[in-house]
Amino acid sequence: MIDHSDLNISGLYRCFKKGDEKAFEVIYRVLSPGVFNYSVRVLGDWHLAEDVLVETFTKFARSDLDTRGNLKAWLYRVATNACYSLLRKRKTELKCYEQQLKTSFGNPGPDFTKELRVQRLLSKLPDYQRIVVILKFYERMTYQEIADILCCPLGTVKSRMHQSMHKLRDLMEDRS
Amino acid sequence: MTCSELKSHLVDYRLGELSPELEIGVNEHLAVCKKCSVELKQIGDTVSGFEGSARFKPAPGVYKRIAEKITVLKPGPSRFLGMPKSMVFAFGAFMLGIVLTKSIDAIIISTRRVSGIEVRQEAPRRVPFSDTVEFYSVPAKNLARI
Repeated sequence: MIDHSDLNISGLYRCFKKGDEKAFEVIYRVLSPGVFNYSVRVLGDWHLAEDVLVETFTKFARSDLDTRGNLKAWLYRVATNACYSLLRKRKTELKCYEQQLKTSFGNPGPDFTKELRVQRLLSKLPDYQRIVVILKFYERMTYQEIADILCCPLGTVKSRMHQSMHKLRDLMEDRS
Repeated sequence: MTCSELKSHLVDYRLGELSPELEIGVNEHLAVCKKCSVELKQIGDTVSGFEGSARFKPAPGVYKRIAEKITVLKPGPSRFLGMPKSMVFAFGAFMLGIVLTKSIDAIIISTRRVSGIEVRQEAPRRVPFSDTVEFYSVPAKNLARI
């Protein structure tokens, strides 16, 4: 019996490809909260984020990936592409779904108000800036990891971060 | 460290994700540069708006959806008795060919016996030496030249 707790994501993926379904469950348990939170923040919609999560992990299971590569970055890249395609389909302004937030928090309180404010601020940013901010603030990724996920140069990520900080500051000042 | 170099590190500095060496460099610069200190304070105010916000978790039913999809997509075992399926198929086709050939031979022989035709195994034909050697004929007019 393999002890999955000792293995990293690449090791677990190799086990899964050899037919160990338990290894896939462990990968899902470790990585799905991050991917889901990221998708919810980008899309502002629970149900769409769940669809993105299902699509991402199904592709992960179907693909024959090189375990020497960064599998976490691959997952986030697939989730990002799925989010982009959903955002393109909607073609409307991103809205924060208050009802879904209420369902998540139960009774509206200070936490709910804060979440609503954060999500509204994020929805004011352009997609490419919002993604960088979420990966940095919520997933605590380095600029290089973000560049790997978005397949763009390091300098582009840094400049997007800089622009989004200025924009967020302006938005916060407008609100206050 | 210059002001432009520092700007790309300010968010990481505020989040506490800089390496110790870089952190020392940033601290040294901030001690002497008022403009960058103001910039850091502004970034700090922005970042604090996001601190402590919730991380959403997927519903338990989502894994079931993925597991169902994977089960549908998953192909059957690619090996049979420890051998690749293609090899098993090739071996099976070879054996079937042998069986078919032998059975067709048996049918032909049994049909001839029924019809009274004698089936004899012929001895291999011996090829005469002259059949295998080629002789070059030279025309008479060329013989004179030789």
